[in-house]
Amino acid sequence: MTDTNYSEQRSQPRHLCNDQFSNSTLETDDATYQLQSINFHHQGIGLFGPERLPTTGNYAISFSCQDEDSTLQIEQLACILIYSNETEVGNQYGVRFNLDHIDQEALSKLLDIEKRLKNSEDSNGRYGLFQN
Amino acid sequence: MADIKGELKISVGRLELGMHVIRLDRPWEETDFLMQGFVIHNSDTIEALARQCEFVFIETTTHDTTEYKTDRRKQKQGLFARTSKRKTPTPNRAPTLSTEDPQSPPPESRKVTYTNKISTEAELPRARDSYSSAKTSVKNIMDGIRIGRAVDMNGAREVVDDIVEGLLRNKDALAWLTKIKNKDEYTAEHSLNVSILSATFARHLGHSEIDIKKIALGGLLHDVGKASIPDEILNKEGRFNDEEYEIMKRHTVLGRNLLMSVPNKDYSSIDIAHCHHERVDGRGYPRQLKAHQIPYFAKVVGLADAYDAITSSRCYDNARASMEALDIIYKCKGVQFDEKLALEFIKCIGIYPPGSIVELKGGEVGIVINSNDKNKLKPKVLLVLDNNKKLTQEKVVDLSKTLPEKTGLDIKRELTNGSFGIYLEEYIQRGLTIKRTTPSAPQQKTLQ
Repeated sequence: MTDTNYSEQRSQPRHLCNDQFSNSTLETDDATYQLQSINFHHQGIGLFGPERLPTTGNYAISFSCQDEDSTLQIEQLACILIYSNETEVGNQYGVRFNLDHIDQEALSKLLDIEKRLKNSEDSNGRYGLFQN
Repeated sequence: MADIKGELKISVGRLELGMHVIRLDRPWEETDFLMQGFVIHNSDTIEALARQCEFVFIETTTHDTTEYKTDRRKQKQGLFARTSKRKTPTPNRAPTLSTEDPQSPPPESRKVTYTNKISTEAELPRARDSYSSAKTSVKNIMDGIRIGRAVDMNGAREVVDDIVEGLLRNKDALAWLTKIKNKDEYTAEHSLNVSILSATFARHLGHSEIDIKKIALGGLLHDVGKASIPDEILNKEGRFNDEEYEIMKRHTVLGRNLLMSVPNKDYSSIDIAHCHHERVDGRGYPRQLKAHQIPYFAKVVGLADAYDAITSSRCYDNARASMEALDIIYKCKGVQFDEKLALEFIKCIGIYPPGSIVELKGGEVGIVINSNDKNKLKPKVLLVLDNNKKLTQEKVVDLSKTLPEKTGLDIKRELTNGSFGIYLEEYIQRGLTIKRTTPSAPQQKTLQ
């Protein structure tokens, strides 16, 4: 019964995008899509929206995360779709950032965003609705 | 003076009782109205018109139709104005098709508080039988529609009675069963799961048993229109093309038409089937209703529908854990979902719903048996794997009763069904009993 070969598809948990995290803009060669940013890790992001994305093509993603002091802006970062669940209630996508050729500044922004979200996440159950 | 029949375009905000509506700003077939032309007899009809149209055409029988074109405030000056004040529709109330069937959240003073009357362990075998027989009934209802029969409302009501009675005895046992996803039976299972989740949510909101049953019935029939979608599209493996995707979206109107055509129709279910994909930002379908125009019960069922759809993943990839769906509902509150209801839904489901497979911070793996209403982060868990992910002597741990310093017994994350070889189906099949793993005589003990 025990399957020791089992591994989670997602190696790191994603943090819930807070209210200071913008929607994500996903650009392909010939179209631009706005999607709700759901959860984030410096390697990737979960997105959701009513529109369907083309499953092939080159993508570039842009989003920002604000706090009291500064806004961290990611512009047109190359990425790929690694998961899609298209339903009648909306379309859910998992996006992995292409970190192979990313410059150091952009990478450190991604890591800073992750840290911000981790710190802003409610320790009492993620949404701040439950008490320990 | 001879009556001259004519028609006049009028904004729905200016409609009054007694006016004869003869045409709408859209085809009658796209609306809830049974009659193609009627006299307005009550404010509910005005509300229903306001929900579905921006303007309508009324019949005029006077010789001078220009009077309606003048500013009504000018007309209503003087004595006449004081005696004929129009009752304005309440914008915040979800309009419904039925005058006897208002849909609204329960007022604070009339909220019902429910408690489990029986343990999850004791209810689970009965819940398993109910679920299995309900799934067969739902399949029969859908198959009947495919061969041209009307929707079996009596059969659907029987299913709902059984589900709601079970939920009122214990809210956790049926929740276990909604966690098991079988791709081959998606449509029937999804309908049943949405019914159970909607009823569980209605119970959480404090609705009366009557309203819980209405919501559960609407949940069961919300996708009934899919029975009119060609099988080759409905059961297609892989991604829909754009045309197929648009055809799938027609299930809301098809469902509404099917439910309108039965003699013993249920108006709440018609609203739910028609409106469960509307969004509060007005970008939903089929009619892009605004937030206040979406019937309340459709908002309730829409949340359960989204949760089950996201945790199911019809074809393309593995199902995701509950938290992924809750993240989406949380982030889409006030955009896709009613904000207050979305937050209540998350509270109702909790981070670790019954039947969740969880990994503790210490590395052990277990299954959530009961949610703890007072502390949703600390449910009762049946531990089945040790911190090396090896089978261990099963034991039940009530996390709410563990000492604060024992942080290893806090939950780290939820896992999907099948993780580390743990399959919920096996636990449901055998019942919630503790399995002894001693080498000699295997024994089982019912949980207390």
